[in-house]
Amino acid sequence: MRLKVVLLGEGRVGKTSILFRYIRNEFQEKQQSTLQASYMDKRIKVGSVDAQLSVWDTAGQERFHALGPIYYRDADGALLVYDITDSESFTKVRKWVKELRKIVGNDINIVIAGNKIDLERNRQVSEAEVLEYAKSVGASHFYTSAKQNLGLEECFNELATKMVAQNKAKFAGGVAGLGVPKGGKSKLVVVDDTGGGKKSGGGSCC
Amino acid sequence: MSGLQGFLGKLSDPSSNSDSTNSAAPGRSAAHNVGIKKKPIKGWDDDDDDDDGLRGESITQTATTTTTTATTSRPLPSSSSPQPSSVPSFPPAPTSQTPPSPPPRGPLSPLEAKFSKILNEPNVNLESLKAAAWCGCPESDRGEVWRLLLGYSPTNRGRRETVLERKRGEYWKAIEGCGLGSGGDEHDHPGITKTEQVLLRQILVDLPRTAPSIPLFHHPSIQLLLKRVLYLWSIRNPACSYVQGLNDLCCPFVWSFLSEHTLSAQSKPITKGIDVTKEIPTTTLQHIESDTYWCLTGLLNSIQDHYTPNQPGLQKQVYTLSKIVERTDANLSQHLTSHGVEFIQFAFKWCNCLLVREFDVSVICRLWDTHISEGSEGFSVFHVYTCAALLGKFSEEVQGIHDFGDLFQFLQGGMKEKTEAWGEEEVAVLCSQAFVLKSLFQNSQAHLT
Repeated sequence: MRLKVVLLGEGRVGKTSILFRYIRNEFQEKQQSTLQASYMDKRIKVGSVDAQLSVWDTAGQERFHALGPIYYRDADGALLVYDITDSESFTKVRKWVKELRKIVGNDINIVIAGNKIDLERNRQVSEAEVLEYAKSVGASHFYTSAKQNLGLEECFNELATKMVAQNKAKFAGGVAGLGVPKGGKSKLVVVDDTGGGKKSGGGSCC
Repeated sequence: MSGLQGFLGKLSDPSSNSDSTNSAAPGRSAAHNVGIKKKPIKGWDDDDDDDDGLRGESITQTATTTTTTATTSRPLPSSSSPQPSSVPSFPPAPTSQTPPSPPPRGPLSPLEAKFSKILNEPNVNLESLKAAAWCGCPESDRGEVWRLLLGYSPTNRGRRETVLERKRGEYWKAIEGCGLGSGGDEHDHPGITKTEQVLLRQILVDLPRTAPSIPLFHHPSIQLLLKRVLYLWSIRNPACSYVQGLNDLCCPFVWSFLSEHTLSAQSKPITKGIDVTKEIPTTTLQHIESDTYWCLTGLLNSIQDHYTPNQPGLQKQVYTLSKIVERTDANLSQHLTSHGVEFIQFAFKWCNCLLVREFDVSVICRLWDTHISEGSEGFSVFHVYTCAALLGKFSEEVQGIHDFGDLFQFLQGGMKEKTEAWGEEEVAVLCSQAFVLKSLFQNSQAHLT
């Protein structure tokens, strides 16, 4: 199952760093700004489902937003990132939610990530406000730190689980062999091989 | 548009599009054999009075018209008194009217001797200079060549010092005027408006992310330099304002000007970890800053529509690139299409940052020698053929990759690993191929639609 994810958020909140850490386990303190968009993918297992996460990392600067729809138009999920030490960046998240809901409706699963949690001491964005907002728009919220590799697996797990569930609902009965995970959370397991998807990857569902 | 047009009008080479006399075969890889012969161009060099700093960008001529149009730049404020001493932060520069004698050098290489001869003429012949620089400048002369070819430094040697002094003074006066003048506290600029604060914030966010692998650009003095240059350019060019990636475009200038200094004053090449505070005198650094500003302005004047909203010039360039590749390398084009890769997805960066992110800084400087020698069409026209040649260079490799993610990986960053080892030879071949492609297609636009 191919799942398209788009990363959105203001400049320098850490979108690219999140992706590099999550996919390659690499971190660079000084990451070049992303222009327009870049792409990375990763094979994961959601419950018993083999999935390929195709992630589009977009540019943060307003100037490049005109091209945003190219990337989120047919995305299954969006990870909206803000920087907990920068209240302005959270305002941008609200804008993105509005735009996504307006343009692609409820078909897109949204997860909000408060990045740079390692800089908790400089926090500017109030937790209560964020949680309340996330709830009001039906999005999950996670704290992450690309630098310290915190919360990223959970964040992408959640998004992938939502997307898989939605895809299944969409193609209900149409795809053989995809059991619906029942009860409890799914867990992602990275599958090394690229072939088949026959590997049992047992015990991934808890 | 008039400021831009004025500049383009001065710089554009009406013969370059139809120059069938370009018989020099650039396919020959020895760079110095590549001669670009062009018909003499009127308007470049024949009138010294025009060489007053950036042509068409000079201080007062455009003032009345530019403010009424959307896409042009605002000129710097007129300086009625060219005394830089009125600017507190600008050190008094020598006011000597006599041309300085060239700095003493060791034995010159044949290439250096060639440039030395051209540059020491009382009136530099820009055509000769362009022809020579097309094949690459010696590092020690690059700064001077770029200042001349970008229309910042006057061709008349006797007036050069005075004009540069005046333009540098203007820069510092403008910095004072825009509220960034005092001190280095990066966040405390109470005098600027809300919009300007947003702009400054965007620039400050980007600065630490400039050329991450080169410590020199992260030195506080250079960060401050970049901040002022980018901020001033952005407020003077409100139709573009700051666009991510413009910070990258400053790097080749800073690098070349610093290199010019270390070679002439200390007879040693620049290093990526140079301690600017220790090794570069403050006055020199101030000159480098204003020169970077003016040369960046000269470069960007020819591609302003790369950075206006929706970036139409850039999109057009990417489209042209896709068409060139479709015509010249159908297999590659087909390969990309069948794997769902669109040109805009990877070539956007190539055009937005003019390949700065695709090469090591020293290689990009060499590549820019050729672009800058192409006049105002260097980055607006020639660049697209360079991109096509670059893609052609890696065509086989790209066609060997069949996974979308891997393809992307290669086109977005993997290429830089390949170009790390590039030297003069590879750049010369790239430029030559770009030249051939340009000769084939530039006058045959119907083939590209």
